[in-house]
Amino acid sequence: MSPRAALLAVFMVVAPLTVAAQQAPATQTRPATAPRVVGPAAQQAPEKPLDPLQLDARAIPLGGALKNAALWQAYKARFVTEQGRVVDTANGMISHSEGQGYAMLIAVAANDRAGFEKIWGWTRANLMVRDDQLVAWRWEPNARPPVADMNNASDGDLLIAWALAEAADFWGEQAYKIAGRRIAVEVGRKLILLKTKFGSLLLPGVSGFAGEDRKDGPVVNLSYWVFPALSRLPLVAPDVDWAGLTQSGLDLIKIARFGPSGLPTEWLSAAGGDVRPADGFAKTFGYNTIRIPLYLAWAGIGEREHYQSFANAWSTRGISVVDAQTGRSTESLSEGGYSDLVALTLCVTNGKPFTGEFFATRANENYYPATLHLLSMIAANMRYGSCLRS
Amino acid sequence: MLAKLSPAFLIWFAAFVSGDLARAQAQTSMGGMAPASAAKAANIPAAVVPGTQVEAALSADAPDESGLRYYARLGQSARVAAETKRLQRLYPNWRVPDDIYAPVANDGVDEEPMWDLYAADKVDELVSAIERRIAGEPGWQPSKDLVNKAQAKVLRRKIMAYWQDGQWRNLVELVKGANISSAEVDILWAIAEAHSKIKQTTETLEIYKTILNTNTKSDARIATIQKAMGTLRMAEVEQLVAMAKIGPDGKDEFAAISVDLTRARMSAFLHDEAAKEISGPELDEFKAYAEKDQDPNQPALAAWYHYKRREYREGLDWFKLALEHGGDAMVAHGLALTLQNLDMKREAEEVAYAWREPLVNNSILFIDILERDLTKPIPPYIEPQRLLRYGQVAMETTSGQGAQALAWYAYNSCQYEVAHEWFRRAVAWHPKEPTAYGYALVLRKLKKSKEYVEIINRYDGLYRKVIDLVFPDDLYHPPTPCETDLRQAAMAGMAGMYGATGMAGQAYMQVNPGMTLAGAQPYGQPNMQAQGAVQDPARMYAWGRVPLPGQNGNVQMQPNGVFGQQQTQQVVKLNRSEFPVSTSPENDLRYPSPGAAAANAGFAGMMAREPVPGPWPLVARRVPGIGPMPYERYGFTLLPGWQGQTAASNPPASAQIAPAGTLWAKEPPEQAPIDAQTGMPVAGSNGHGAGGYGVGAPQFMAPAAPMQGGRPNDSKTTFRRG
Repeated sequence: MSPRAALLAVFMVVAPLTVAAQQAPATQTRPATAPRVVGPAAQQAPEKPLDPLQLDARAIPLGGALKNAALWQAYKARFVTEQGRVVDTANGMISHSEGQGYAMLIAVAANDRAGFEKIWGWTRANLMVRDDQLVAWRWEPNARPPVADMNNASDGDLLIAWALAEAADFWGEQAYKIAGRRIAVEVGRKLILLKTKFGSLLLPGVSGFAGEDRKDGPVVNLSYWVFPALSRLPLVAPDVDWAGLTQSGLDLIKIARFGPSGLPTEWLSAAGGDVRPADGFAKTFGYNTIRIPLYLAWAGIGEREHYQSFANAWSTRGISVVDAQTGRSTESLSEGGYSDLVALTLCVTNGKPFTGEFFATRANENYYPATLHLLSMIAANMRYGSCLRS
Repeated sequence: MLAKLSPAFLIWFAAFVSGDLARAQAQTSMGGMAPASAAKAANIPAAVVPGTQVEAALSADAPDESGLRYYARLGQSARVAAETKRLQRLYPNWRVPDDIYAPVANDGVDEEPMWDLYAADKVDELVSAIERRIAGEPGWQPSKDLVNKAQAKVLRRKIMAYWQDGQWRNLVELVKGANISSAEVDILWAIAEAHSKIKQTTETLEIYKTILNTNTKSDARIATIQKAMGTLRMAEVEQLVAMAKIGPDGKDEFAAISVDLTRARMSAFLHDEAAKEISGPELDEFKAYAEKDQDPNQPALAAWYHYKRREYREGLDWFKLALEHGGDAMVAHGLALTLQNLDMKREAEEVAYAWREPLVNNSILFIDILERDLTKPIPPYIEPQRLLRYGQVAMETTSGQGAQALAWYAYNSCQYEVAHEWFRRAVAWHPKEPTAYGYALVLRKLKKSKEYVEIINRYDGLYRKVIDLVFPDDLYHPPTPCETDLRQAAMAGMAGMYGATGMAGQAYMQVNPGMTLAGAQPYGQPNMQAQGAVQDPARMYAWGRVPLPGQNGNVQMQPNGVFGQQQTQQVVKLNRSEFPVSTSPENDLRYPSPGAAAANAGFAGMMAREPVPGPWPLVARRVPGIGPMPYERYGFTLLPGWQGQTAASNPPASAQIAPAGTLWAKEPPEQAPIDAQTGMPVAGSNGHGAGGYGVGAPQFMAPAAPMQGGRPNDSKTTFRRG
């Protein structure tokens, strides 16, 4: 050993420790209650703990994040009417608060203020029929009245409030900020259950999910924790504890793992000491919950174990609806937009670059996968440039 | 390799932080391992493990005494004896040297320049100097003291670098398992903070306790409490505060920071954290300080503290003081809320208006404060200038609440054209039940029948009040001031008394000259014969006739007599051109904000065609959350809801009980404001806090007309009929 190397070794004696240190959190923070992940996916998981994820959780503005305007143009031409209604093409041409919120977000990302105004204008004129600041969740064009349900959906509310906050921030529009604040504060007031044993919980709707409404209530849906919204809503409502909600979401994702796949079911009862699949709902991992890794990645939060069940399941057999009890796939999700969720997740967990398919315009997709495609792309543009450059 | 290195380092580190350099030096060589192998395992060059392999390197054939000397220096006599036996077996003629317990040579000799570098904190230069010396003088090695101290400096630097970069987890891992009780206090603060950042606050608290247990320096102890206030919850800090030493003068050692402690307790209270109750003298001490301090945040804290305790009168002066000290728009917001709670609404309105642009909370509050007066069924007189600016703010911010408030004010003061304009905006921005109902009323009044038909059909199945216009109930409803006979009112000498004349540039809300506006003024002259009302002797007010107890039957006051007795289930004669009519389900009213309208050149581009162009159904369906429709009393039914629901919802969504655990559930039962004219609570009003807003038009039935028997399942809001 040369003298130089020798001395460096003395003085850098602590340096190798950082590697050891970085390995620790994954095992250290795993809760004792987490069901053991077994089965095919788990067997293929590498035995030695992987490096911790190096994510950037800083709040990043959404405005202008979608560089490819043609994708948005094509999306609008297929799914957004002249009036500003976002049409769910696979679902009886209905609209919902969530879809309106998504499209408002994409419009901000695409720097399309006229488009944003149309979609927001339709949303408030047609869905804000409740006697509070929340948004009726479902609208059907061929029914009298078109509003199908006076209940709200808290993910739709969060998406719309977030989009308004981003629009206010990006275009400097006070009117959007006020509208966003009114919705966000109402979510904080009516939909967040404070100081439960899981911390703050997000009720999926004002009606039907609380302990007063159901024996197994409160019932929650982890895909309603729109993490990137929670990190940006302080723009309009700093007085609501969004960070507490983020934390409970992260905690619940760690413990809500069922069956051989270790995946969460869509609807969870948080009535007992632990979460369990809620009564009266299919015990599946499905269309809602596939968005969990998207929201985590979009916010740039979570540890490896938050993503691992999804990454394991999807990298071995593709994305599908999974029966949480048997771990079997019951329905393959073949449209491209669903695969984009896989691509984004594997970018996070393995640094896997996106393929050309990720960037392609797809003319035949339905509303939901087409939306997930654009959302994944925006999230990638905002935080995962390394996977875009390949 | 790593697995071995980590504990070795930590043992070393434990010694280092305990200040036992001799032990640290010994343990650098990894405890029980032979020094050479220990050095190898630790990746530390043998040359710098003091007194180990130097001798061995010099005489390869001689017995290797390094282990022996090593154990001797550690004072481990049993191991010295064992090693002696081992060497004697290998080298029968060998004898134990006399000097194995003697101090090792070369401790610090000729190291002056290096110690200078050390003292000057020039660690990099120090490394280079040692390096050059080793290269230039074969066999030379730095003294163990220098190595240890330099290592400590490197470690310290590492800890502080992690601390500065916010690499909390790495910092915690670095010191994990080490006995850190004797480390320098700033290192301990850094470690404590790192634990708190990764939510290991129990560890944080323990480190602070360690400091208070071991460190006697007053500055360090006080600073530890200050650090704790920045990293722990106040309930935990109180455990540390309780460890205070009482001086000979009987004074608590932390008295010097009592204001800081009070401030932290107040802050904890404001954040709903468990906190020690603040005593009167303690609060007074803080206030005396806050009053003098130029920082507006200090009086503001006192102000919010009182606000949260609902001590509005006490809080008022503190908000004012904070503003005088340069407080921001949030302080102004507190002042406006306080004024509102003290029923000084006029002042609150001014404050909220003045501070509306820097903080949207104030803009929202401005709209909400005046909304209540504007939507009174008999609204009070409001100066045109105030209405003008209210309208301006409503337009700038596309405020649905503001638009509907002005719309109702205009409607209830007989300014129908203006009301129509505001209702169109309100329905675009805020299409709640009262808004749609008011819009339908004004459309009917203005005989805009196409739009009227559209509205009543669009909201069929959703808004009972709108459908009430097609199927009126059979109860008596008094005339509104606008519906009374103006000529008679004029003859009674009342007209024009409060008639506003409008102002220059006021494009809207021009009051019809000659109309009575002030809410304190009488209705005018109701048609007594037709409506069976009673009057006060001055014929200024009209009241409904109160039924005798046990009196049966409904008062039949409908002049056109459309409906018979309810029992007869007589089917209403519908105007088929009005209802039901196939109507586009979409509300297409749009009024973008001035900013959005100006930017509308953006690239909306080609958009999809509406895929469901009609015709649309004539029969309404059930909507979960909606109560019965008025026509159900005639036997009409609705189609099942989207999930098959066939019965009306009871209670409806508007009467939803707040789920326990929400802030909503913690709100005090709504205190209905008292109507200045009637002394009665105003129904249908709503909290005007951050999340509250007016239900729309709280058009409660004027007390002049007690309702006959009430209505089943009526929500708290009743509506004036047109």
